[in-house]
Amino acid sequence: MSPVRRLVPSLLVVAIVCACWWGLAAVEVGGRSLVASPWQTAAALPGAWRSLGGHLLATLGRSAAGFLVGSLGGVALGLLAAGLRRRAPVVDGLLDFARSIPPVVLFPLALLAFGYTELSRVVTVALACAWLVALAVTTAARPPASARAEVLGLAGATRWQRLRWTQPWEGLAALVVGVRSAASMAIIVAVVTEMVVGVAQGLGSDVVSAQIAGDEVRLTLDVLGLGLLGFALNAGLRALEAWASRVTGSAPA
Amino acid sequence: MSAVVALEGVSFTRAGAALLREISLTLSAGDVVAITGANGAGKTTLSRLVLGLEAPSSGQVRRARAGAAYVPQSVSDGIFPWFSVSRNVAMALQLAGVPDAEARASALLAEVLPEVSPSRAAWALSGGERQMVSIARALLSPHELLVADEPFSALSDALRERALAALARRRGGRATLVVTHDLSDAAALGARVLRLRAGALEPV
Repeated sequence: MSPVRRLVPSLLVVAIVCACWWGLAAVEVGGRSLVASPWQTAAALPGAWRSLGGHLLATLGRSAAGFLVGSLGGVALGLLAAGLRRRAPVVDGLLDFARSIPPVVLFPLALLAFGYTELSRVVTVALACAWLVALAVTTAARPPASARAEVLGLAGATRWQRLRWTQPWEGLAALVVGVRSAASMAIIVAVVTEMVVGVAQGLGSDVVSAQIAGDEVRLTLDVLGLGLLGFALNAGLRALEAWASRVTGSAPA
Repeated sequence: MSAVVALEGVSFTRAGAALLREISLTLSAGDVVAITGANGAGKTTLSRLVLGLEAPSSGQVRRARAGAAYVPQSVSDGIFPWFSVSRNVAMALQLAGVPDAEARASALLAEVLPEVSPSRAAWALSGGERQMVSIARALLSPHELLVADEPFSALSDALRERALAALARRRGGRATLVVTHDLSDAAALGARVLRLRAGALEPV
């Protein structure tokens, strides 16, 4: 099949999505469009990119700060849980329970503790990430595939050599999955915390402001900006995950 | 000749069912024994008992020294995909403190797997190539006992011939136990063939 013919189905899908977007923009509820049309959005972009970029960077900054703090805490918690698991199997259940708590419900607790401050938002993002990273670390810390450990043991490897030559690699795929989930969660939680009063910059805050002002163009740009941010992050982490799966032998070469 | 490993009246029970009954087997330096038998007959369990990876339910396993060269049945878990091919092959020698381990591994690889660069990442190998790396690692091991569990199962005919030739040429004075379904492999190795049936070993 020629490259042009192969492109046709993808172009068709894009055209259908644009048509749906156009159709949605034509729908009026209470005399107002729900979203801006593709043309309106494209026309507004040159004037809005600076402000949109500022909001995007603010959201990214909060997500990154919370993610980093949460990841460090998650690694420590995960290692502790992995060490305790054998003696206290209840650890796995507790981690699962903690992960099951929707992270945004922790935001009011953070507000109570730290007030309407930046710290509250970062702490909430960090808590959301910490459990996911902790679970990934406990999975990664499971004993390595028995055949490799046996080969090394029979060849005379010390316990430290067995650990060093297997554990970080065999756990890599699980760690990357945890990092990807935590990074996605960080953005979601950061945006939700920005929707509460007390923040001037951030996509969540701008979405709410645009909704109050009835500015559907800004609203549409914010939603698209968030989509792009999530898409770029996911694409990068997916590539990392694919690499980890190949290198650790969990995916065919 | 002194025994490298000796099984004396070894029985093995799993989930209440007797898998191996009163097995006695001695492997001395230079011995080559092939174990054959139906699926589920207990061949892998027997090889793991020989290696000391499983404990017998009754009887005794005596080994002259700890350590062995081992080719596990699993093709994917038998190698370390994150290391280079030569590092995989050199591993046992490195652990024994041999200084030119990687150079010796590269020399062996030139013989058994010349189409693969020693510096290539092992994760990029095919299933057959992985199994060949596992065999090469065992061949280079300094241990006096070599146990290979279905080492040729993933190999193409060409690789199988090369593996058999290398095993025959390089096994030296080692005691070798090979688990296989293929009697022609056993014949090519000049092995004494024993069949595992109803939990007991019988000569073929």
